[in-house]
Amino acid sequence: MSLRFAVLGLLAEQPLHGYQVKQSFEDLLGGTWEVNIGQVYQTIQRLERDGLVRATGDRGDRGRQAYDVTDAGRDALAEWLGDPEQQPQVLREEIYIKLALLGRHADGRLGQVLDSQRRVYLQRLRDLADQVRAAQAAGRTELALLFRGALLHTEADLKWLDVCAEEIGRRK
Amino acid sequence: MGWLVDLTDVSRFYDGSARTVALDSVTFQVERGEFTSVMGPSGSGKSTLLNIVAGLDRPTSGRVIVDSQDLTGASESELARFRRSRIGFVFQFFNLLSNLTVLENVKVPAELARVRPAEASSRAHSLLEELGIASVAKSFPANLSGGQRQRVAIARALVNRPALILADEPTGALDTNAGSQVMDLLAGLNERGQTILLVTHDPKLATGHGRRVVTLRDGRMADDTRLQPWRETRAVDLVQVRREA
Amino acid sequence: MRAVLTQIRAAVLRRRAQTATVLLISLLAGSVSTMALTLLVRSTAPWDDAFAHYQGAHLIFHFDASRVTAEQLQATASLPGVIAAGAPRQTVEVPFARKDQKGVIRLIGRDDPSGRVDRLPIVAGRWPHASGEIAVTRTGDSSIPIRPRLGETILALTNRGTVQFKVVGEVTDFGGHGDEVDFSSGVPGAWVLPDEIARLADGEQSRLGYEMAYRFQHAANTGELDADRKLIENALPTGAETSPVADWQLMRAGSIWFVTLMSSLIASFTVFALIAVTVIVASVVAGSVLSGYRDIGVTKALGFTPIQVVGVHIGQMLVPAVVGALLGVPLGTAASDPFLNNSAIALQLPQGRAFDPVVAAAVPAALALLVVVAALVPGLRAAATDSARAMVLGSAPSPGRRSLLSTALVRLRAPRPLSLGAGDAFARPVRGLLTLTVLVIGIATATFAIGLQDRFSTVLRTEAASYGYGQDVVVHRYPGLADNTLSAQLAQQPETRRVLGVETLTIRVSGLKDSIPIYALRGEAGAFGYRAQRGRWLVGPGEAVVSPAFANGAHLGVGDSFSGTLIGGPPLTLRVVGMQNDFNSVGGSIRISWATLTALLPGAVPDQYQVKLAPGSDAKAYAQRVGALYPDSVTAVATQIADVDVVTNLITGSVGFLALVLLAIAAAGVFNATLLTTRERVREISVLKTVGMTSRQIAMMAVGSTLVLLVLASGVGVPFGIWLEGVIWNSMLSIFDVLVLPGPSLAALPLALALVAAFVFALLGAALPARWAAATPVAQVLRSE
Repeated sequence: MSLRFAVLGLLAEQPLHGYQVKQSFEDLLGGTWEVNIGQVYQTIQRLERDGLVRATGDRGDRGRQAYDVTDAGRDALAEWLGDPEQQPQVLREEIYIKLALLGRHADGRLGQVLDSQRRVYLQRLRDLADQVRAAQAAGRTELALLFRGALLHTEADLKWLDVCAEEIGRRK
Repeated sequence: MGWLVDLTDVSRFYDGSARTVALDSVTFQVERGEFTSVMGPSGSGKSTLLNIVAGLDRPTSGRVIVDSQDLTGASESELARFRRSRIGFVFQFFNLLSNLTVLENVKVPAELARVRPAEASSRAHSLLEELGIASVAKSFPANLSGGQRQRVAIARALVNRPALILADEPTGALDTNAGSQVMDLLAGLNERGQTILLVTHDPKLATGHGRRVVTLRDGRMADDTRLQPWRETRAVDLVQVRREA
Repeated sequence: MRAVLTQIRAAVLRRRAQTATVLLISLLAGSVSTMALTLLVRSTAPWDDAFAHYQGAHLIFHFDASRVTAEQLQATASLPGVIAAGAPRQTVEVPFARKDQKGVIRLIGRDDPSGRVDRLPIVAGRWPHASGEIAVTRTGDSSIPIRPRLGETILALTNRGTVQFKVVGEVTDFGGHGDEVDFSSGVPGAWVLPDEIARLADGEQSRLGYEMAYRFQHAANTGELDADRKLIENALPTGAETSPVADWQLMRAGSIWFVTLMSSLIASFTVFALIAVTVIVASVVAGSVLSGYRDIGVTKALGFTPIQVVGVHIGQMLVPAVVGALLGVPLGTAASDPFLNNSAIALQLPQGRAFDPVVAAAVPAALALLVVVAALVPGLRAAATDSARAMVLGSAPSPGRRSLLSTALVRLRAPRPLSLGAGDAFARPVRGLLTLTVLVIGIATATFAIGLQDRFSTVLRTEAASYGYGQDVVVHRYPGLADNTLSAQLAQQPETRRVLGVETLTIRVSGLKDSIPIYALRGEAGAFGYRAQRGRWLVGPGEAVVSPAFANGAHLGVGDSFSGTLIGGPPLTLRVVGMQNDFNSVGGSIRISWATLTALLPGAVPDQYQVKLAPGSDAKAYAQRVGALYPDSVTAVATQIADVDVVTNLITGSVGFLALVLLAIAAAGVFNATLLTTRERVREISVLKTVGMTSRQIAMMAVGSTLVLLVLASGVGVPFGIWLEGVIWNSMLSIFDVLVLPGPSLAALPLALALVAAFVFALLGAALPARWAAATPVAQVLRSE
């Protein structure tokens, strides 16, 4: 869903070729989402079909065709912008299942698993912190925000890990 | 051995109506030049650990050696003398002396260590310059922002060129911006060789800088891990953006 | 060291309220201490130095020339124990006239003022060289009827007519040359060349005598002086003495009594002031430790040793204390000047500077020591602080419990702010007690001052006769004029209301060495203020009312009898029926009724007439008129009660002033306590404001605790002040060997005044902190940390 509206939004800023759209989109997401050009064109076509964008300039070869947003497109964009996202929360189920299974058996592996998972999270926190700093140093503030989001999610995972460990440990 | 901090089997109990265990047989060393974070929830004993390393508290049992000085049996005066010249503190709530100006605050440890007044002044001034707060040298702490106050505290901690800097939740009272500036400062000091021991409950802070993360839980060391900095990981390996058609 | 000094300097400059409080109380206490010490140290010095320099006489005897010879007297000079003696000098008492004054002067024949003993300082002019020249005693005492000055010509009134004398010099008399036994009749001494005495010694007005002055090896106290006196008396024929022996201790006491009195009064105030200062400093330091709890923790964390921490706290107090004391020293020195002046002027001795370097150094040193002691306990508490805990806690662990008192007030439905504030008073018990102590001191001294003032005025009114001021005019009659004539003349004067005739004689009482003056009173003595303070007044014959000095010396009580011989009269036995104070007679006195006298000496007539005039009469004019009627036979002197007023006003004024000083100190104590409490409760106050308490109510709360303390302090302070007043009054009087005056000293009105004064001061002290508390900016306080 967000690819469709991201493309719409990018085109609302200025008319772009398909390839430019792919570039801008990947920039916006700092390399965390590599999208292939076919997907981009497909998305643009669907938008055109729905009357939200239109081709501008000369109709030539697909690679050179620029697109622009229509009024209907702007309205749809505005509506999407205004709606809060209401998707269910994403959860990492893997660690939960591991802990639950291990918790049922009284072998000493629970502790090891917890420790090694924690270390992974700690390292990830560090890596993300480095990324945040690099993005800020390069002036890419939106990207830095993205990484900070990831950082906070990782922190939450770490906390959840501790909570699970405590809870399961108590049940033993 | 060369450890800067060497705790061997250190325990700290409080005997009240029930025996409270703050630290339980902790053995812990810090090398010179390390930036070590001690992490743990409240009640884990991390503040007690810090206080013992600083000579502000005595262990119930065990041995404490910091910068080659055995603190275990030291007297109050000896501990005081130790604190003034061998370590520097950075606290969550700054703990600047309200009666003194910024410059005077920074000079206090130097005066205690009997550094000549001219020398103390020049050290203080250059530290204030370095930390970007030379303009408020004559102000009183009450008139400064949180970030400025913490920088004064850092300057104060550095004035006697201590072997060890101890930081207890140094960003706890600061906004994100000021906080990251302070942490960058500490990281910069560490790059130049300053040993730093950071205590915090915030994992982001514990891992953001430095290489070693020690985790305490219920007074015991639960983990002691080394981080690899700047691994040039590709963003896409770190962050997976949720995709949906 | 430097670090400690930096902390001290910063604390002194930043904590202005605390510094100002300690500075103020040190200044006040320093002034009072300086005053007390200066008076104690300096008051007697001028007299003692002069006495030593001039080798003053320890004892001066006066003898009847018909009963002892010059050779006998000369022989006593070589008695063991006698260091030196003056030559026997002839004396004669002669009435003199000077302008409109008339009085008896005792002339002493002497070649020059020098000698091994009893040298006389000439303060103006010179010694007589020739016949007709006289050197007089310089005095400011207005109760002496005749007071000649340098350059004047005075007339000796002998039976053979008047003889002129030119006053060529004025001399300081340490006492004893004239007849000082009875201050109100005052016969001063004066000196002429020896030959003159014979010239004037004619007729019944005169009595030839000898004067002998001695210095002894052991003459330091009454016991030794008694022994010395016995020594001389035993070597001479009995009954040779005329006036009582003048002993230097009495003379000294007479000269310096006022300053001695004032210095002991001020000394006792000083003790209180110093106690108050100690208490307040302890409270200030304790408060500073509490409020600086976190800072103390920080300094310890940074590496201040416990000793250094104590040093910082003591140092904060020492600086303002020493500065305050140093400022107080010149104030106290200046304040003691008038008192020293008073004693020096009386003697016409050069007055030393009131400034004494030892005192100036001792007072700040003593205050510094006191401050260190007071600051020590709370300072040690600071040193013992657990620094880690202090930094975490921020402020000291608050007591948190509600005192019984505030619970009680809540039950009583007192206005909320009041009951909240009252709870404060002992929320920190030690601070409450310390403040209470200071208030007790303030209230006690205010009560004392007002009680003393009240007592003085009562005594002045009702006991006038005991110090010779019961009458408006005193008329001395000389033998040339008949009693009937004078009495009739006095009765005819329009202003005359009452006349009391007094005959003064001397009695030698068996068992006593001195002869005692005995006064027979003709008329209604009661109207002149004569009354017994113990026992009762004279009713029947053979009764006597005596002074306490006499009773103590003769070991007599009411109901006892004693016997003796009138000098120039028969033996007699008298029964003591009552006692009355007599401030005029140095050694003791006896009063009898006229009937008792005439039973012994049928032809006796009064030689002195005390006259009471109608209210509003001009006593001076009256005296002049009477004197003019019988120029050669009468001396009339108007009694100037103003003199007494001056002295008592000085005493009560000083006491009142000292009480104000102590109240100011108490106010400073209240200021400090209220400030500390409101500062500690800043957060609470902000919360109260958010729930709707007005600024006025907050102020009432701050004042409420002071009110509670005031009420409690009054309960203790008032009785204490009353008791104190009684004690001080009695010890003042014991200098003069007088009776305790019965009855309570405090009427309701003066007491109410004292309390009002104390309350005003205390509330003034609480006012400023209360205002500051009320002005607490809510949002700021609740937001921080």
